[in-house]
Amino acid sequence: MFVGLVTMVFVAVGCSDARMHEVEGTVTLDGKDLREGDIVFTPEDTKLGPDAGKIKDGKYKFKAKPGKMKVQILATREVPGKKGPMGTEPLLEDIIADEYNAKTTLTADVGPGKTKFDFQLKKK
Amino acid sequence: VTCSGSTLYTTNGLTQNGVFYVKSTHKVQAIPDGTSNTVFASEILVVPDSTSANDLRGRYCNSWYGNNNFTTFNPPNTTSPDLVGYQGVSTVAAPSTTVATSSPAGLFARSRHANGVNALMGDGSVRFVSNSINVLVWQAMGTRDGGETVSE
Repeated sequence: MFVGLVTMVFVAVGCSDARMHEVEGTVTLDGKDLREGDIVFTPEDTKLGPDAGKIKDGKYKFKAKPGKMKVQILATREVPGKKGPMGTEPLLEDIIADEYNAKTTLTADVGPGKTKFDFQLKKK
Repeated sequence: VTCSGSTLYTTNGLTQNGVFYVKSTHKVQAIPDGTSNTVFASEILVVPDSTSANDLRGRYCNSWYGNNNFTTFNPPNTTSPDLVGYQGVSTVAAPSTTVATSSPAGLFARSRHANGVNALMGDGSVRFVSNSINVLVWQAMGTRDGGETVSE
């Protein structure tokens, strides 16, 4: 019973907005602002879900939980002159290397005073 | 929409770990976790069609891979975007991103409730699942044989 109560209090605090931190920063690809994309912070603690935001003209800003995060950056482009499997829709390809998303090596440690993270990516 | 399990849609979507997915043949009597511990369906959010783009999420007809079901890969109302293969329409409430052709895709449970979603369990009961649910529990709830029992 005591353990249960402590757990509940912890969960209640963990999900309250007050503990969320507004994180922000820049994302460049080969030195140029990443025009459009997504950035996802996934806690190393697998009991917690990810927080994410949109990248627009190389900048992002969103609310994230505190803690150590794996960071993934996603962006695609339409391959000029090619069509997807149905033959009518654009063929889309990733423009970000696996080491920044599927097999990411990027990290962030979010906490009080630790909310600015810039990422300089290189083309694959 | 119905629940395909806790994984993303990859390749042809034939091997997902929930109950509802492409060519699934699971019978209700044969769900190892039991129907009361397995999510059959949940709310999702879609964006109204515009003249320039259609949101294909949740469509059963004239749809696109990964758009017919949802996955418990991410918790309810996650800010992590739905991964769609074609014609995404993204808003703050229903974020999505267009993934590369043939990359993993998936929709996540979303609602207009502030703190969770209504999930239909296999026994016909409806549970309100909090956004702050332990992700591992939510993922297990999406599977037909995760071995979990749900207690709150």
